Amino acid sequence: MNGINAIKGNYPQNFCGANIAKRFAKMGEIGEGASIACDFLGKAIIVPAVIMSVSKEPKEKKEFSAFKNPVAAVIQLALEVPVLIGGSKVVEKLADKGYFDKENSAFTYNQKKMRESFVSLFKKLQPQKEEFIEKINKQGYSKHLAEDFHEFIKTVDPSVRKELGASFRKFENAYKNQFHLKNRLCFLTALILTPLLCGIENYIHPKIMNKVYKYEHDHEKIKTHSLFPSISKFALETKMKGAR
Amino acid sequence: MKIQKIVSDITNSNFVRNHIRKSSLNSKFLARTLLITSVSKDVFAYGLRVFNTLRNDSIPQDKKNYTAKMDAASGIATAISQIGAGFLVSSEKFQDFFSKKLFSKLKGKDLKNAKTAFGALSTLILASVFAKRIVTPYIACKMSGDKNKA
Repeated sequence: MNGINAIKGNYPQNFCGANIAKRFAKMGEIGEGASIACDFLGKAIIVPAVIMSVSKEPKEKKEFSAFKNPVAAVIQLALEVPVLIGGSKVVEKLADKGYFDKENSAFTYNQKKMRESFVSLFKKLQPQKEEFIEKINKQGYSKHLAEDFHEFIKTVDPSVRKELGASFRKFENAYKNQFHLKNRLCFLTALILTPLLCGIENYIHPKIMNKVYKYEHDHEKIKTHSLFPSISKFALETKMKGAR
Repeated sequence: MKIQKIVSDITNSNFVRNHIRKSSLNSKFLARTLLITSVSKDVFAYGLRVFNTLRNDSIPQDKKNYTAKMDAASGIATAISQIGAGFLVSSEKFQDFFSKKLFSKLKGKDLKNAKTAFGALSTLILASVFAKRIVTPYIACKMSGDKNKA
């Protein structure tokens, strides 16, 4: 019933209660870690589970196909993730050294330079707001920081507001430029890495599966060999007792 | 220095600058760019898997055909399900409908934060988990099963 009510728009009180809404309001951005963990668990556990339960093929066939996913997930976690995380840090450092910028261009990827120039201007014009400077130096740019800044700037003198606002916009733009450049370069790296990862997966997966099947078949053979003599021995003994 | 010049020429070309600017200003454009990059990478990977599987002699013949069929079907299914889920989640109607239901008591800054968090969480759950990890293998199993019967 609750489900029908929810579809119709009559949400039960505890579902749309203030607690959930407040939790969402306080929630920060979803980090890279959560996204990687979700991707890994999905590939390693959910996909094989879905294939094993949905496919109507013989067990060995669907097992062979399904277990390609956990192998791929482990390879991805061991190789792709560290390369992308490391690569992303390298791009960040290079961008902060001005490697991607052109001389005399207003468009910049150097968020460090823009942050430093904003901080020095802020210190000069608003020296009493030390906690904001500390926050920006420790955490860098974030949506919350931008909101705090825009709230604060409403309270200052219009001329200072204009100057600080322009400097903050430059810092914000440089941060966003660097962020999007980093993402696109990571995508290109991932695309370049894909043939290598698929090649490793193609080499490792059949080897693992063939070993698993060999072990299973050997295990079954041992079982049948050891079980049959004891059953036949038992049957023979009972027969002989009956004959006596 | 020569490499740096080539790199900065590329990163400052009109195409890259416009793309970066648009990604910063237009959240719909950004969501769809991310969706297209994710789908293209997955389709490329599944294509390579089919190619590799068919040429791998260490895979038994009976399993080889089914695995290649499953990979091909997964490539098609992932494109369909991710594009479908991505466009649904990034649509304003979908976001507004759930935001109104869930965050009716919030206002101003809190409402804005909650909407952003909901957008990110719903994308992660619907597109990355439900579409990519549940719907895709489900459709792929059905597709490869039907092909076998035919």
